[in-house]
Amino acid sequence: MKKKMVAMLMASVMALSLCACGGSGGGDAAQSGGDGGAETAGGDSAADNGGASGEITKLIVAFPTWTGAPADTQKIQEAMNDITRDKLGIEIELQISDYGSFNQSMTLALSGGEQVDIVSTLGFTYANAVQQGYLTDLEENGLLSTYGSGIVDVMGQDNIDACRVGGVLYGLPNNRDMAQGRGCAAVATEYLEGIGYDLSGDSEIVRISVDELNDIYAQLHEKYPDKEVYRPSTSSMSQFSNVDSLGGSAFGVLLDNGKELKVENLFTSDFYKNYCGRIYDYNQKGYISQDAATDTTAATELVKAGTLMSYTTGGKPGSKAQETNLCGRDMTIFQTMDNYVSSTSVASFPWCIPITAANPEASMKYLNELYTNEELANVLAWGIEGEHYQVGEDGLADFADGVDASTSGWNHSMGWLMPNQFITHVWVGNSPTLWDEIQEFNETAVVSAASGFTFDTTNVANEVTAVQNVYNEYQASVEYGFVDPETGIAEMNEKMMSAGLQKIIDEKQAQLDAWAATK
Amino acid sequence: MSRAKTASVAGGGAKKMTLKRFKRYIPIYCLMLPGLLYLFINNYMPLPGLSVAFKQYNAGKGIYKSPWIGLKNFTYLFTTDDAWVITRNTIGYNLAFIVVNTVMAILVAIILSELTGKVKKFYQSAILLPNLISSVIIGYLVFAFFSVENGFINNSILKLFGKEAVSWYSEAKYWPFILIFVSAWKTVGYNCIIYLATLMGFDRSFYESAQIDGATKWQQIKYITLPLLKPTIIMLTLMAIGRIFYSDFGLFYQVPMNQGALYSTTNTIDTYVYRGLLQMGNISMSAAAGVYQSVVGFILVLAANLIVRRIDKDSALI
Repeated sequence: MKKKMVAMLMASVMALSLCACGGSGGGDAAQSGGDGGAETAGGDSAADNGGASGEITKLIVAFPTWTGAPADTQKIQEAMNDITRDKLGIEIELQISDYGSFNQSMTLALSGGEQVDIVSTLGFTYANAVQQGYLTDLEENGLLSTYGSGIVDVMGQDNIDACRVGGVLYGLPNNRDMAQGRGCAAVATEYLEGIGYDLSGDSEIVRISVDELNDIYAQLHEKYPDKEVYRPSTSSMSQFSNVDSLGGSAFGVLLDNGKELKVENLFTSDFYKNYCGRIYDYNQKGYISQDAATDTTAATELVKAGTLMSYTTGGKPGSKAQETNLCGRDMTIFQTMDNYVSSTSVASFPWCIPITAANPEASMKYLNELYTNEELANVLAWGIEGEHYQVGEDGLADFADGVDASTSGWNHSMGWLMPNQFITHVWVGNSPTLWDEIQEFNETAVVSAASGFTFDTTNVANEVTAVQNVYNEYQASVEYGFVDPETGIAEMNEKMMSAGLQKIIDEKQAQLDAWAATK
Repeated sequence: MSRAKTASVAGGGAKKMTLKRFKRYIPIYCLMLPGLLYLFINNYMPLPGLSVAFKQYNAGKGIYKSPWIGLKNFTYLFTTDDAWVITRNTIGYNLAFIVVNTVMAILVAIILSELTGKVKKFYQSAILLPNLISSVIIGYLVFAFFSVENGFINNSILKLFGKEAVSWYSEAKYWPFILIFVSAWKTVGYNCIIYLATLMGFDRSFYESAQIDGATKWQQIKYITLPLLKPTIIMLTLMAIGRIFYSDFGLFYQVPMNQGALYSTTNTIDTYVYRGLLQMGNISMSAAAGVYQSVVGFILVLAANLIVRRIDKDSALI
């Protein structure tokens, strides 16, 4: 009996200790999480009261790059902190993810209440973030006017107003090319020389008609039958169109450069029919690889590998240098349509302050610095002078000695994502006056009548998801020319209609009318 | 009166017996405690979160303060015939997988059990290998076979027979066969290990006496191996049915290379939700799909268990 008792005691002690281990483990984690939150909150109020007493506020700045955090992120962070530590009493931590996982990691962080103080909405869609309630109202308590007056000066009130959703400002646009050269095709120059195309014009972007482009493709195909002539991508259609995809989705658009505020169904428009017909024709003639829909390799990589000759791109001053860089071959840019500022381009990926920001005033102060402080902007864009880049006599930046694109620890090529690209150095290979050219490009482009309109999907979230699923199903086969557009478009449109496309169009029209009335 | 008294005494006795039994099992209950706690924290505490599916989630307000919107989050599933297609695909494929993979696994297990020595080890490892390959890589292995321009099947096999090339990735009708084949190739190795382990545990004297009585190999399998395997088969099948409304995401997303043209035969509830909500990032609607999946899955498990209990009471789980 005694033996039994002892055995029982031992067993229960063991079990208890086991569960104590498990329990305390969980408890610790939860507690430390809570502590962390409390600590930052405490630290902030201290910073508020006594910035002068040397308290440092720590902010977390999150943005994506195509490939994730560069090797020297820590160093850059230090260099940036050296600039702002004494001046503002702010230190930051850079939280850089790769573009593909940025949306997911931000959704997780913000819905989990993790501290994020400044966030870029590239990949983490602005409209969705607003709809899900992740972002702070930037004008609450005079946040922008008190701490961000420099931002308003740089961007202009018009551009800032373009980021309003339902009248509330949740994000700040960044300074970059707002217009987009529509209908651009990048063609590797060596193949153009091969067919004897005259490139003596010497302009950065060659203006031609679509018929001339078709003619070039025909000659390329004849001369190089083994190479793929053209490779479409999911963004090709919008880049090669003059439609304004209101709110960034192709469901309900303004046709003809957005001259009139009349929302129409893209999929029954003549433009869409002609576009798909042209690509179908390309496909029938063998310009497009039969594996185009399956192969997700970037077109630029295919050009680099020497299997592809041309693809669609967005044009802007500097795009020739940009595409040449990406492809590792000299590229020629042809443009068949206008330069165009669509309704979504200004507000496509603003910088925002999430609701989990520990100290919105500090976040705004820091953003203000990013928009106005050349030194800080250059570190974020190009790295540390002498280590990552150097400035030549012509004022253009180039890789520092002994460093190149692949060995540099800070070469994210996301300069256009940064708050104010125009106060950073111009990279070598571009015109020294690139920023002025882009300013002019923005100002002279055709502007959509709906410029500044943002679409709130709350009321039609179900329909948008259902229609998006239909689009996913048909987009590649219809827009890559794998099915006859006559039947393919009709089938897709019918299915979208039953999924609620008309309701989205009506909702867009209603919101657009309401928006126009307040203008 | 006396009758009542005896009854109460008997009742007290029974109570005493349960208490005594409980006391006797206390150490075992204690051992169970950590597991129960884990289950409670991990599986039961998040259950109130299901309410997200019926709310218009707003991160600023938090889960509990977001406004209720009833069943509105579910409507996107049912506005098109998508709900039917994905439900059919999910259940249809899983049923096919259960049948094909179980039959193949048992077959392979029996064959392996007849082998001896080094050969057996080699086959056992080789057949397990596909289970360890990531589905992204499997997707490209399949692509190497079915690529329209450079694929093995179009270029070598179909050409050999003088047939026209097929654009595999735009013809939905071929994919049920391809996916079932790939799934079998991938999972048979793993499933057969469980059957093999059971097989090895059988009393060899059954087989010896069967041999003495002149039973052929086929008769031994039919009358000894399979009946002995029955409980294992039923249990594994029941467990598979429990997950019949969940699909192997990698298999249905990566292997068909996320091709729109193949959705009619490759879209399952998991891939549908992933695709639809990737762009939207709408937590409430994702939760709604999760609730739909759980409820249908729950009903299916109960139904399957009910059927098993009718046929063979001892093998039922509940």
